[in-house]
Amino acid sequence: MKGMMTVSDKRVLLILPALIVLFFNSIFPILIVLNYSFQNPFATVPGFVGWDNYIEVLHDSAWWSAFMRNIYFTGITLAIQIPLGLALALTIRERGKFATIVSAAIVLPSLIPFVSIGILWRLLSMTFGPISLILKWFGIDYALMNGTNAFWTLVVMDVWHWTSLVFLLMSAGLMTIPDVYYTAARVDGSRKWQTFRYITMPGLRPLLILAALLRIIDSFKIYDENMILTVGGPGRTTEFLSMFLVRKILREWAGGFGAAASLIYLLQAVVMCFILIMVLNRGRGMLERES
Amino acid sequence: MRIKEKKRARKILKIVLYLFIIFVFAFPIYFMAITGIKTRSEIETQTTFYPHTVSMHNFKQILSGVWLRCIINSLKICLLSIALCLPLSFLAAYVFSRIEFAGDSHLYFWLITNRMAPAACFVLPFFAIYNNIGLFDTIWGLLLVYTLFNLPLSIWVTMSFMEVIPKELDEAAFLDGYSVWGYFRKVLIPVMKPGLIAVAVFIWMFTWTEMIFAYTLTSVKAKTLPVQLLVIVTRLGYGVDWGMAAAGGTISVIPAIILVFVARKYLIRGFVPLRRI
Repeated sequence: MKGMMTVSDKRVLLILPALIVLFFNSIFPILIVLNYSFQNPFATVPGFVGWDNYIEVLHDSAWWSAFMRNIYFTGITLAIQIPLGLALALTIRERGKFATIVSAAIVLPSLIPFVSIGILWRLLSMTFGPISLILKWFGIDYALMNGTNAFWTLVVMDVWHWTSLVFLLMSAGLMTIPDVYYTAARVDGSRKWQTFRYITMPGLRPLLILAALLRIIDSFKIYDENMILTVGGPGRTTEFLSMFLVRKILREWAGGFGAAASLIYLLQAVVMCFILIMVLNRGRGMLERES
Repeated sequence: MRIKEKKRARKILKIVLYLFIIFVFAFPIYFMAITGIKTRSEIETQTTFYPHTVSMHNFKQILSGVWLRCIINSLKICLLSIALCLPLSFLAAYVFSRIEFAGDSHLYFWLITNRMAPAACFVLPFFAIYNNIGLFDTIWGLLLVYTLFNLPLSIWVTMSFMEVIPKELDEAAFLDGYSVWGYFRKVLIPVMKPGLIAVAVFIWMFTWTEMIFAYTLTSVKAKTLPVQLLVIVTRLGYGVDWGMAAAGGTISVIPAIILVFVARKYLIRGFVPLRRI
């Protein structure tokens, strides 16, 4: 029964090594950040400043720009990636050799280091890269650091990068729907759209939600790709939260401010994670055992 | 006859579509690979889709000096990470899936948030701690940090593979006189081999590509490949040597390509158990 500690089961102790490592690695640092966030460690008279750091963060316009930019970016890329990944998964369903090769090609981008993705796209969008060449045929003048081009190139890059993960999850989800359902639907005279709506979509629901929420959470953490592609430029227009944080801490040495911002960032990630788990489990317990 | 023509047209359309998809996803990688072989002047003055003059200069530089050390460091850390995380997560997953104890779902939730947390949050404390303990710029220091992110994910995935194995197997084994460790060694691990391989793949993929921590916590001795790539791309002064960057990028992509083509059959199937967290 849940809630009753089975003390006699000594196997519980097996979890200790992992726990010790995690405790040292995660609780301890968070306590340190918490400590820093209430101080001003690099001031002439270091000492506690209470909630000042947090207030400063929430009033910082650069922070808000970065935050809103993240939301905007995540919204757009998700709106493209999820339908696209789903469409790809639906199109490539057979088991043939050719289909496997195509699937492998689609999955490839998600296994490449983020840095390399940044380099890849930087090469493509350089002054003499293929993108500007092809766009010239259409009469469009393209330069990476021109106005909003940087942002949109980032969007395209992100879509290219992560549609593969969505595709992967959707394909796995499609595999779990038993063929019997489809046969039954066909026998009952269901048309393609109806089959899709009443059989495929509900079957895909858990993995669809997983894909969406994984993407939302990971998308907020973006750092490597935009660091290489645009280094936050032009100006600060593509500076996202992670970059903002690293800049504040490592370049401007704003210790207390950085610590407070880190914690706000972490809190937001935890909240999103919580929502992810709640939605996925929909009332069931987290470690629901299927006996 | 019309139906046959329609079917044939459909098939051709499908093949064209597939080829287009392969092109979209593979072309950028191809482009990066050939940029690594071009000469510097060619990269900066023309757009070419195949190298007009082949120069192995960049790749020769990659396999020596700083670059080689970075590649070896990355390899070392990946393998060590797998060696460390696999056993730990195996044990932890075993406990989570077989035994109930007070607060287990809370613990599990905390575990997962570790994976979801942005790396940038932890940069500050680790930087401060490591500088004081002397773990800065060491492989072991970086390894420790990576377990922070690898352990939760591996426990999570191992759990989903382990839950499929019925508890009755444990009980039968214990009845037959196996000790816990004997059971692991002779029964459970062989049964879970595909799952464990999947976990190893996940760990590899995160560790090989991670950059934020590597960048802040290393400088010379323990530098990894992604950091070196970042360094030459953001170097100020002479302008960026894109040929070198491309060559370095290509090297970083090779493990992924090998992986995908060796394991392509198991790739998608490996994600199926994630249906329920």
